[in-house]
Amino acid sequence: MDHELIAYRHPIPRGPFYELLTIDDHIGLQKISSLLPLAEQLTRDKEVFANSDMAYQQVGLTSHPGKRQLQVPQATVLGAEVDGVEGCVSAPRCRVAMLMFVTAVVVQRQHTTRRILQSIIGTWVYVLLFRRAGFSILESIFYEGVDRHMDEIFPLTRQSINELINLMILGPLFQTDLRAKICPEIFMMDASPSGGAVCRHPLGPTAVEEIWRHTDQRGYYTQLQTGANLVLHELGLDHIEMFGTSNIDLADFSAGAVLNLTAAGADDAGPAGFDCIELFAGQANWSRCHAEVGLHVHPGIERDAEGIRFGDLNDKKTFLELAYLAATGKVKE
Amino acid sequence: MLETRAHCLQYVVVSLNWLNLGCPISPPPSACVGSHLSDGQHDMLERLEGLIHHFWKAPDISFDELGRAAEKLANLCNASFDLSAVSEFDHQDLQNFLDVVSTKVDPYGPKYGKCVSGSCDISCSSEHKGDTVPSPDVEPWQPETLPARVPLANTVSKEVFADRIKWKLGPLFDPLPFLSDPVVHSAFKRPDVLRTPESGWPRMARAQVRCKRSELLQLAQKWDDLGACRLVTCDSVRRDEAVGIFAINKDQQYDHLIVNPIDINSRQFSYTNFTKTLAPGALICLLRLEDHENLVSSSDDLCEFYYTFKVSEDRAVRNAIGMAFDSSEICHLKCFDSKWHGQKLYICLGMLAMGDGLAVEIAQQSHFNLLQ
Repeated sequence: MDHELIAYRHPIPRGPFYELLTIDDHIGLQKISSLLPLAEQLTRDKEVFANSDMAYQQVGLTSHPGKRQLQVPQATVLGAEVDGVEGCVSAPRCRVAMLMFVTAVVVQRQHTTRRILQSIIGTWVYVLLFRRAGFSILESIFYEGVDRHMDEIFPLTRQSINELINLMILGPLFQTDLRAKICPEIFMMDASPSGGAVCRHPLGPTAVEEIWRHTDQRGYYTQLQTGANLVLHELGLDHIEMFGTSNIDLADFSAGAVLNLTAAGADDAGPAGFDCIELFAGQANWSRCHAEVGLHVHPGIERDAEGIRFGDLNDKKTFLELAYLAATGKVKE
Repeated sequence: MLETRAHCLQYVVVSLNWLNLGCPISPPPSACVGSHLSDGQHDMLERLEGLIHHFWKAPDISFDELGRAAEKLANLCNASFDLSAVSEFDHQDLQNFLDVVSTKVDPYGPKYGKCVSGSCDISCSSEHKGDTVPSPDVEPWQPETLPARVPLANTVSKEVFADRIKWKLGPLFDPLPFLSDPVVHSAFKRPDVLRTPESGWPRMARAQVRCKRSELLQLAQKWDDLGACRLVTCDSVRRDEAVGIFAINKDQQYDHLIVNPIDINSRQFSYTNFTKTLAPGALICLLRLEDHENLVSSSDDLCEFYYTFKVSEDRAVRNAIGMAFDSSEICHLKCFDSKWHGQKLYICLGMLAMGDGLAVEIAQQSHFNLLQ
């Protein structure tokens, strides 16, 4: 069922049954009470796997008899080692141990090649997905040997050796405790190059649990503004987001419907103003498409039939004309 | 064992302290051995002990346990041992730690300790060791004897050997009733539905067929016996669109066969819908258990899933393998038609091919809808 499916970029289901599907693997995870014998508990997983058995038989698919598991407390599924009694999930421990060993060898050698390093770090990245805080250990290792041939030996910097040592030593910790409690507070952060702020506020257990279910699975970040964007922002001159998907229904867009501008955007588009201008237009397809969806498009500054060229900005008349347009604010984008 | 775990915990604490203190050259007194521990620090030590305890409870490592990662890790080990042994600074403690680790998992002979479990059946002295890993008894590497380059054996693509490709099931599964997305439904039957205009095709090198003729003929025989072999005349397929093949490691005994349609894939729109329902295992970390709850797992793994798909003639022809055969070489196959005598022919895989740009979407969508 859709509400039981764990999938990338979807909220985690509320449970108690969870289903994962990856091409030929069908996985079911069932929460059970530790206070009652398993046989006495009515669980959804039995029903789901009995039904899937029937479905496979009807269409000529065969489930691998040696790999079939039902209600086991410890299993390795989809590259995750799950211990449902201890409540731990991690990359398979045997692989982590081997990876620690390989890393130790490289640390002891203090030399590596790009190909070996990429392979080792790539494997560690997989391990760290099960305890994302571990990513904070890695920094300089990503820049090692970037200008070298893939198989050329080069010495590692001390910082990178330290990072590898830390990965290796902390390898046993890269697991997730499924019984960890959710912090009953919400945290907010904001930062700029000159300062930062963190604040927190207590929330009820239900609310934090719901927020946790919707947590972004890859971590979330806001890009630090730099250069012209930063200057404009600090002067209170943020540009208006005109092309965000939230205001455009793609189906309507393709059918030629008029773009639904934000209220602010519509107000700003006065009779003498233009929504956009295309420089270096060539055949001006971009202008035509934007005009077709109702935007007020500047006709452009034509030097010849080919349109304005990049080099034409060296021409004083062209430059001044464009500078005037920018200074008057008559063209938004 | 307890002593080893205690050492492991010490190293973990040292490492976490060092990171938390901003990587200092020398520790403050409060982080040195013998300093007073707060209640919070005691709690933290208990948690760390629990994690380390769980890690050390892992069963002994065997090649089978490592699955597909085994070959990759073995090659990494071999290549890493070939790197320089120049010591610019001493790692006495690290060496001790290495000894602890290697005593448990060591597949590398006496130099790094003995395998104490007796069940440690990884053998890196197998074929991969060969000419890249020196004997454990040789002198340590000296800077002047270093090789300039150390290649890492390729575990991604390998030559195809018919005996290493497991193929027991024929194409029995018709996915069409389960392809609910009209684009995928249509493209499954007629792959050219997703073809891009020729003016936008990128230039690609032609994919290699990493298989000897005799091996491909053996494979074709297997497919033919299962009703999954098709033949097509060479002049009915664009030469640059005939596909390559290679193998990737599955386990010690078997490989996966991968079709490499790099040219055709680059000439088709990519399309994903149900592919977005794929679930990486790390998402399980987001589940939560209450103190009185446990978690049990159930799983099914479909046998040779891709090889059980019935495909249309058009899709089979998309899998024409770029090695031309005289009709006389393959006229014994059941799928051979007498009208092809005297012609050059390609062998086609008459089922869903791993490597087909739409294969994951087709497989995921049909399996998903089947279980609804």
